[in-house]
Amino acid sequence: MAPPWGTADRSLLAGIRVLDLSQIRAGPKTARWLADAGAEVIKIESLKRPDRGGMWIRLDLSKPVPEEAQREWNRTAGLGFDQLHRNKLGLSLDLTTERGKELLERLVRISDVLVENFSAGVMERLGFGYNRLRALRPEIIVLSMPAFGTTGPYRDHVGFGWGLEHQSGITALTGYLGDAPMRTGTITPDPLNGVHGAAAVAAALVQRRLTGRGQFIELAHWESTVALIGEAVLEQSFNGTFAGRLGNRHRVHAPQGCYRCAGGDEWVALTVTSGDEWAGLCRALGRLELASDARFATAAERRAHHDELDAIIGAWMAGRGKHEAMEALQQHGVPAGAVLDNAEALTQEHFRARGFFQTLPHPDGVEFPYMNGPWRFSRTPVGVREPAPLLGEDNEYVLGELLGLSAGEIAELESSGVTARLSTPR
Amino acid sequence: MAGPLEGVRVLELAQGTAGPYAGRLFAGLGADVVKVEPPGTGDVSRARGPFAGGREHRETSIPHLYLNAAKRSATLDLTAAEAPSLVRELAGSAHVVLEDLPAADRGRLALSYESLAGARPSIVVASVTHFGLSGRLAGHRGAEVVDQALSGHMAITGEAERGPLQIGGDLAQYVAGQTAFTGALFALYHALGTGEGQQVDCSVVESFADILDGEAILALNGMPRPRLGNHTADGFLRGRGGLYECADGWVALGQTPGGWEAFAEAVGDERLLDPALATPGGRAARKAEVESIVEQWVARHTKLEIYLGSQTRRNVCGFVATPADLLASEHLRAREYFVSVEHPVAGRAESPGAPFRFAGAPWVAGRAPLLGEHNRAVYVELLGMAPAELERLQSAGVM
Repeated sequence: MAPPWGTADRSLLAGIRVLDLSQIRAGPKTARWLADAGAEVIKIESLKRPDRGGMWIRLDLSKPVPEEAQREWNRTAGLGFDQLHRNKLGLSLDLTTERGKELLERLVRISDVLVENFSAGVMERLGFGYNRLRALRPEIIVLSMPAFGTTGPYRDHVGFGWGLEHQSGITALTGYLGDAPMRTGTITPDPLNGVHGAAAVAAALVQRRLTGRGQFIELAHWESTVALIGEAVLEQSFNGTFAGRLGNRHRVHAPQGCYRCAGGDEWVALTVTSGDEWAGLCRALGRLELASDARFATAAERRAHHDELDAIIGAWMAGRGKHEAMEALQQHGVPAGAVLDNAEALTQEHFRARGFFQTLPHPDGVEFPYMNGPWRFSRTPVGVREPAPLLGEDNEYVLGELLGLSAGEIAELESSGVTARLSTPR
Repeated sequence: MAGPLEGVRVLELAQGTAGPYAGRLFAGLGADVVKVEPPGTGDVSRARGPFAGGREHRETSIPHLYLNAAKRSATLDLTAAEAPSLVRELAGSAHVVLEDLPAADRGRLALSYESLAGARPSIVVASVTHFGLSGRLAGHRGAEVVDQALSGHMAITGEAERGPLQIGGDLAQYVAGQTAFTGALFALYHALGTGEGQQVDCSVVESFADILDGEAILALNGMPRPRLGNHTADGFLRGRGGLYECADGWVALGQTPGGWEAFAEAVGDERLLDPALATPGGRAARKAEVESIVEQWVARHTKLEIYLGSQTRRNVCGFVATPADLLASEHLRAREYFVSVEHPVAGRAESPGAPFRFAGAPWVAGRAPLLGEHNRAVYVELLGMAPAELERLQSAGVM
C-alpha cells in the first residue's frame, strides 16, 4: 500500500519501513537520511510528549522567529523541525496506554527498522526491549541511541549535545591559539551522531540482505563522537602529548589562517600544504621574492615565522573583497575559501548548480528551501519530497491502510486520547 | 561472530582523512578493505605526523595508524602503464570502490561508474572530493580550513571580534567520511537487491553544510546566528551557558533539565536558594551577585566534581574533556571502549573503538598495514598474478 504521495519504487531503500521513536535532533537526523533515501519512515510521537526538537533553534537567537513560523510546535515553517522530519509520515500514539502499546506491537511486526533515543532502560520499561522486538519481528534492525550507553557508571546520566560536545574532546581541540577551549557554533555531536546512526543502519541493512539476520545496534553518543577525534586520543596514548588549541593554524602546514578582508565581517581562510602551493601564494600576493627567501623555505621554517607571514597576507587581504581574494588565490593553486555565513553557504552558486537544496511549496502557502542531502546518486533519486508532517497527520494511513483499522476504530482511538491530531487543517 | 559486513570487499583509492575514514568504518565492520597506495611514500597520512614515539617514519604516523587500521595495503603507481588494467581488475573483485582521485587520474584510469559497469554492473563507486564532481568549484583546491569556511561553520564558531574559528580535529573530513560510507552502503543495499550499481558523488563541503540542519535555514530566513563565543546572553541564569574555568579545566554550566533549585543545591550556597532567585527574571535582576557566587564555586572544584554533582541532581554540566581525560574515564573504561592495538613498528597504544556497537559482532580493531604488506595476497592470491610478474613489477617500481 502506497503512502499518501506514492512510493519512489526505484529509490535506494524502497520497501523498507522505519519506525522513528526518536526525538530532538540526532535520532531524527538518522531517520531523515533513511527517509531521504526512500524508506517509509513513520515518526511516532504523542500529544503528551510531542517532539519539541524544532524549538532548540530559538535558544540563542536575539531576534524572534517570524510570526508565521510560530504555529503550534513550530513545525510548519521550514525551520528545524521541518528539515529534520521532511519525507516522514506522522503518527501520534500514546505509548503509555495499553492500546497504544498494542498498536506499536502491530507496527513492529510489519517494520524493518526501529530508531529510538530514549534514556537507557525506557524501551524496556515500555515493554519493547530488544528481546521483545525480536520476538515480534525476528529480522528487525533496532538502533538504540542512549547518550552514554546502557552499561557503565554513567549509564543513567542525562546527556544533551551542548554538554557532550565538550565531553567528546572536540572543544579541547577548538579555540584561538593557546587560549581557552571554545564551543562550536552548531552543537556538533547531535548531527554527527545522527550520521553515524544512519551509517550503522545502512550496514545492518546490507548485512540483513546478505544473511537474512536482524541486528541490535547501540550507539552511545559519547563514544560515537570521540571516534571522530581518535587521532588525538591515539597521540595521547602513544606519546603522552596533546597539541592543544591552534586557532586557525595547522600543526604541520604553514602558513594557514583566517584573514580579514575589505568590508565588515568578511574573511578568507587559506592554507599552504606543499612547496607548489607556497610558490603559488607568493605569486598571488605579488611577492615573488618570498618564494626564494630562506626563512620561508620549508613548512617548519614558515611555522617559525608565522606571525610575519600573517602580517604580509593580512595586508594583502585587507584591500580585497573575500570572493575576489578567494578566486585570486585559487587561480594560483592555493587552497582558499571565503568564510560564508549560513545563508551565503547554502545559496552559493556552486551548491545551487549541484542541486544542494530544493524549494518546496509548503501547505502554509509559502515556499521554503530544504537541504537536499550531501550527495548525488547517479541512478536513484534522493532528496526532499514532502514537508514534515503535523502531529498525527498520517494517522489514517498508518492505522487504516497499514494496520487495517476501521474508520470507527480510528475515531474511537482519537476520542479516547490514544491518538491525536494537530487541529490545524492543511 | 563475523562482522556485519563480512564478505563485502572495498577497493580504497583514497588518501588523507575523508575517504580513508569511510574505509575505516567498512573495515571495522568486517569488510575486506584493500587500500591501494603509491609505492615508496604511501598515503599522504603516512608523512603527516605526529609520529608514535616521535620517530618520523612512514609506519609511525598517528593519523595513518588510526585511519587505516584493519585494512590491507597494496602498492601501485597509478601513473604506470600497467595501472589502468590492474585497477580495473581490482575493481572487478570489489563491491565498492572508494576514491578521491584528481579528475585527470579518474579519467585516465577510467574509474567512473560508467566505465567500470561494463565488467560489473552492480559496482558502487563512491567518490569523495572537497567540492564534488560537478559545479563551478569542482576544479578548486580544498583543505580542512577551506571546507569549514565554505560550509558555513567557521562563520558561527568563535567570538565576534576575534574572527571566525575553525573547529579542531579535521572534523569536516571525518563527517565526509561518515557520509560517504553511508551513501556507499545505501547504494550497495540497492545493488544487492536489483543488480544496479551507481556512482555516489559526495562532497566534503556539502557533507559539512548538511549538519547545520535547521540553523542554516534560519539564516536563509534573515536570522543569521551570530558568533557568540562561549557565552550566551543569560548563560546558566536561564538554561545553559558557556564555559567557565574550574580548578582543573573548564565546565559548561547549565540547569537543564533539573532546573534552578537543583543547580543551586549542587552549588550548595544558601544565598542561591533565595526565593527571589527562583525565576529567570529574579536572577537577571541580581546577575552580578549570582554569577560571582557561582564562579567562586566553580573555581574551587574540579570538572568531575561539578559534572558528577550536577548529574546526581539531573542537571547537565558538561566538562571539557582532554584526550587524557577520555583515556582515564571510568565510564569509557568500564565499557571497554578503547582497544589496545599492537603494531610491529609503532608499538602498542590505545585507540578509540567502535563508534557504534553491533550485538554479538565485535568491532574489528586491527592494526594499520605496513606499506605494501599485502601485495602478494592481493596481486597473486586475489588477482591470480604469477609470482614472477609481481617480482618484475615490484623491481620496476610499479609496486
